[in-house]
Amino acid sequence: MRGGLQTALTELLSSTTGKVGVTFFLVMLLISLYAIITNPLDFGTRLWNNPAAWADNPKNVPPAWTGIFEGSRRVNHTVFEASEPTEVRNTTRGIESVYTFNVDYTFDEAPTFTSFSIQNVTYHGSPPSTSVSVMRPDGRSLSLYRFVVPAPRNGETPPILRYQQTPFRVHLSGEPSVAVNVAQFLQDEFQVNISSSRLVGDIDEAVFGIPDTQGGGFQPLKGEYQIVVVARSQNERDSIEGVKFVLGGSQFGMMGTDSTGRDLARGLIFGFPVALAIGLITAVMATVIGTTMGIISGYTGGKTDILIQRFSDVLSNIPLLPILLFLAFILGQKLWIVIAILIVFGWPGMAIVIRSMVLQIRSGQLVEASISLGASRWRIMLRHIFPQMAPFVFAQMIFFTPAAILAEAGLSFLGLGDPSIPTWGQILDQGFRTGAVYVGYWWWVMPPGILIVLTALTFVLIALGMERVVDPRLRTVRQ
Amino acid sequence: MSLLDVRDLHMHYATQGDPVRAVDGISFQLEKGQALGIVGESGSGKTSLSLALMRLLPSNATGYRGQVVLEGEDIVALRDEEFRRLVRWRKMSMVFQGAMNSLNPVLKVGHQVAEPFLEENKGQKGKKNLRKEAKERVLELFDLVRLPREAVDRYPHELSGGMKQRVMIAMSLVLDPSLVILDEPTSALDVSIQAQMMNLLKDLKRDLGISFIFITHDIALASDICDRIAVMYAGEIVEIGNAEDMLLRPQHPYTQKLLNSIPRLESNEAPQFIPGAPPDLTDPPTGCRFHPRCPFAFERCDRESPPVFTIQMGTNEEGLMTRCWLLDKEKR
Amino acid sequence: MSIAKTLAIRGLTLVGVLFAVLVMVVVSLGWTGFSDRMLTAIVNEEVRGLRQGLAQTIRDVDEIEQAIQEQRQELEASYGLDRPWLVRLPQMIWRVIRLDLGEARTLKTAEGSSSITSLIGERLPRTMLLVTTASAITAVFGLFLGVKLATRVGSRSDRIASLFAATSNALPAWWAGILMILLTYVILSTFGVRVFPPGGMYSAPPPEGGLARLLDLLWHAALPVITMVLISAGSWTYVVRTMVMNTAQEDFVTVARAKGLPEGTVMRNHILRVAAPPILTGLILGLASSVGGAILTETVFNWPGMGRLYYDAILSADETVVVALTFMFTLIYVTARFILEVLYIVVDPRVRYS
Repeated sequence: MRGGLQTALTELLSSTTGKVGVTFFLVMLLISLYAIITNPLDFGTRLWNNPAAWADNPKNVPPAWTGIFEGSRRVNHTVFEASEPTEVRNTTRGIESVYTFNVDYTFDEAPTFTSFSIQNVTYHGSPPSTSVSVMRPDGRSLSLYRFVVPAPRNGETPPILRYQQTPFRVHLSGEPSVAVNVAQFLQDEFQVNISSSRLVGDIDEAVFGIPDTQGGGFQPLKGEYQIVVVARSQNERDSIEGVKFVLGGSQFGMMGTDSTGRDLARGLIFGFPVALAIGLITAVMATVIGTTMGIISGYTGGKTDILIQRFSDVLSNIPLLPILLFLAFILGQKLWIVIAILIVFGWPGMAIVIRSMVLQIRSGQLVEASISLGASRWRIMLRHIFPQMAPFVFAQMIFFTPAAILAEAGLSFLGLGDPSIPTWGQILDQGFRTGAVYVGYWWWVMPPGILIVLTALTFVLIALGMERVVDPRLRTVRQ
Repeated sequence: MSLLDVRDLHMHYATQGDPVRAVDGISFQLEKGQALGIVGESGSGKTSLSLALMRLLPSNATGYRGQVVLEGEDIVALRDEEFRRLVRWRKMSMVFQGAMNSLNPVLKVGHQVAEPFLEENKGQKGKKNLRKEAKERVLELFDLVRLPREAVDRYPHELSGGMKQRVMIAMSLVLDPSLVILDEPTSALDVSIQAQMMNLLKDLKRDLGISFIFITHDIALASDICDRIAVMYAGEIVEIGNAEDMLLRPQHPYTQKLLNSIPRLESNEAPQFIPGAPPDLTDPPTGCRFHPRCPFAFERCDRESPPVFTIQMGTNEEGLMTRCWLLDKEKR
Repeated sequence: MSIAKTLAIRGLTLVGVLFAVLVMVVVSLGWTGFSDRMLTAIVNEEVRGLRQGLAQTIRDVDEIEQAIQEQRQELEASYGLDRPWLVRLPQMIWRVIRLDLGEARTLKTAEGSSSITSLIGERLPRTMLLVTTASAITAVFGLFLGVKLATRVGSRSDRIASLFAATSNALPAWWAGILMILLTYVILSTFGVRVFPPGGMYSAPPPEGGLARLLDLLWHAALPVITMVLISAGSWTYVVRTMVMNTAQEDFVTVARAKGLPEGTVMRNHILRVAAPPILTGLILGLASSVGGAILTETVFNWPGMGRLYYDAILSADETVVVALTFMFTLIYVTARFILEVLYIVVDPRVRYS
């Protein structure tokens, strides 16, 4: 058996398609390992399908690298975070912790949004207050936002803890009080009159720009900005452990984001081990069951044979996709159920082919000789019949893998994927359902599809490389 | 003038390395109404010779050259389309080795026999008349080869091996060719059926006056029907002559070995097998191609390829034509 | 074995398939409690209607309640809700076999009928239009190209075609469809031309007049058909090519050439005629996958056929429709297979007697 598989592998690696396929496979394996190591196993529920985890990301923006092809410079998504203040001042009004973020603003447009958040606030006595202001490159300074941490509730005793689990987060771009501040700023500094309610959509344009002389719009103002967050408290033991300011970009990461701001690169990478697992588990199980049943059926003959063959015939004649959909719909959207269904409908085809091979080999001289020498049935099956089929079985297994991956992808695409485990099909489904296809959000729908095709292609190529092992006739055609 | 005069015919097969020299300078003549046996081990190039004569060149055939003069016309010089229309099946037909795979499994055998007839006469008569005539012709042939008439409407898988071979023979006769090549026509058959088949062929030869080229590995079988016998070895004819002389007084050591390898009823001697294997035709031995297996080989055999020596026999004015240095008068 | 017996065995197997699917559908419905929920919903719906009717004639609340209670019990009994699902099973199977498929909860035909039978009657022809057009184009294209390639096996065009076939094996139709839609978007946004509509069956509003409507329909069908042809033509061509190539190496083809038959006759009568049955098998498999695949293709292109109906039924969790369509998909598949089995027997005499 080892001999047969070894020849198969040598043959596989000697063909171009086989080499390409195996290389692809190894790369996928590495990415999968990386994905498993860097992500928690409950990635799906804890991160992917948890909108709070992606709140600070821009929505529906293309990958960062696409900016190279643009004429104007787009805003890079930037997150400024600090756990320690840059400076602590003792003033008459209390202790002021100052957090300063420097923004080198070189972009030709306003940020898509700005947000501010604080986390892990501890105070004793009167609650601390925070304020956000901007020092602009034109020397003007603008006070954006002020926030006082909620006071102790009745019966609460110091130290008072706030925002332990979820941070306090404010979307500055849509905050009415910010709009009021900015409107005041525009009137004081530029003598431009815009009501705060009209300004709400244009806050970031105003903060990072200069009003047009013609009125109406804003020109981006490039240069060094300073975001200054001042936290004022009355007790020196008070602390704020996380201060965050987000400059919402119009491009993000390697693969961009979807409509909930999810980093598509992470979802796509997590998809690797999932796709491989679906394909390989299904293929291995279906092959093992199919081969076993095929050998039993072909070798035992009689009633067992007829029973297995009729059963396989019926199962393999069922149109897979409607049944798969139905069962996933009825039995629940669990990945293991999908895999189980694919195995149940996958093995019979294998059993039929294996059986006919067994019949052929059984009538061969080697097996006849062994029978006449009194070898036992199982010994003959294991020692003589299986080894001859091993390369073929292996090839069948590889051929089956892409089918399983594509079936799961199709199912996910129809919205019947397992919500706790993100797959490429699901990303595509969400992109399709939210209309990303019709408005040209290619970074959302192209990569998952390409990965599905590439993964399936990997196995198809390997199978193609194996074809010569299985069908000796093809070896002569090569010349 | 001979019916068929083959002069220095070559056909090689291209491979990744050197070409296989399957037919490498074959010459012989065949008279009208006579049968020539071509005998050799498997791999000697005898089937390739038949393909070359029929110009059924495999896709990797190269170096197809020489002259094949059939009824006074060099058919090698014909263009493919002319060859197809003028020669194939009309002048020269063939019964292929392995009747099992020679018949189309999804067409009725009667139709397969009639096909060349329909093709030959198409456009001349009305469709209906042509079909009727073709059917008559097929029935006539089935009678001739002793097949039941109802077999015309059978599919190949419904017939036995012997019946299929008869169908193939009937098929070869449908256009009254002057030459039929028989490639191992009996090798796949049971011995009893083999005898019937040989009788049928002898009758056909006698009654129709057709010339045969009978290709076989069995020199005894060839002598049963053939007037002359040629022995092929490694793509060349090493000895050719009258069947009786070839059987009784063979001059070439290879022919002698072939004869000794036949089991004989009347002799107590065990049949002797020829040691060694036929040579690799991509790289045939230098000099005489048989010399590595020849018990009489001497130094010259390795060096020079032997020419044809004609040996006169008492029985026949033609004598034996043998390519062997042993027959060189000024030898050694 | 006679033709009748061969056909009977195939027929029985396919009926077995149908039955197996039905039993599986019904058992999984019953076992998971879906069936109970389905029937209860139907009963509740009828009871609500009844309550409205009674409220207009009877004033006494208690009387109404009592009447309704009686009616409810009667209804539950008639639907078999008072018995366990296992007992109801045969009755349910029988209903579906009689094509008494029930009513959809929310889905309706253009005329407003919610009977599943008329829903299917409306949607099926649309699916058939798509699938058969695409299959026919693919079949013709594949036969033509496959035969061509078989005569030049190993050439550059042959290798390219083989690679294309392998790639299209890995390319799901729905993904190809998405690419197509994206492409039309890109063309629209760069050139301002709408080459093909991204989905639907008619423009809104549909044009007046028979011919205009037909052209509009074809315009909408073009993209899905092109997609389906594109992804199936490759492997189909490859199947034809391989079958023709294998057959062309058979001895009887050499014999046919030796017989002096012209190349066209050799190809038609001796190669294609013999390669036809296995090619037909390829067609069976192709058809099978495109009928099931219609669910995905129609969803992508928003084509209101059976597949899209299935998708909508799943989205709206309309169990009755899902069950009915699962059965219908199997029925169509099985019927198509049986027709092709019969065809197979017609073209291959070996099957008839072996």
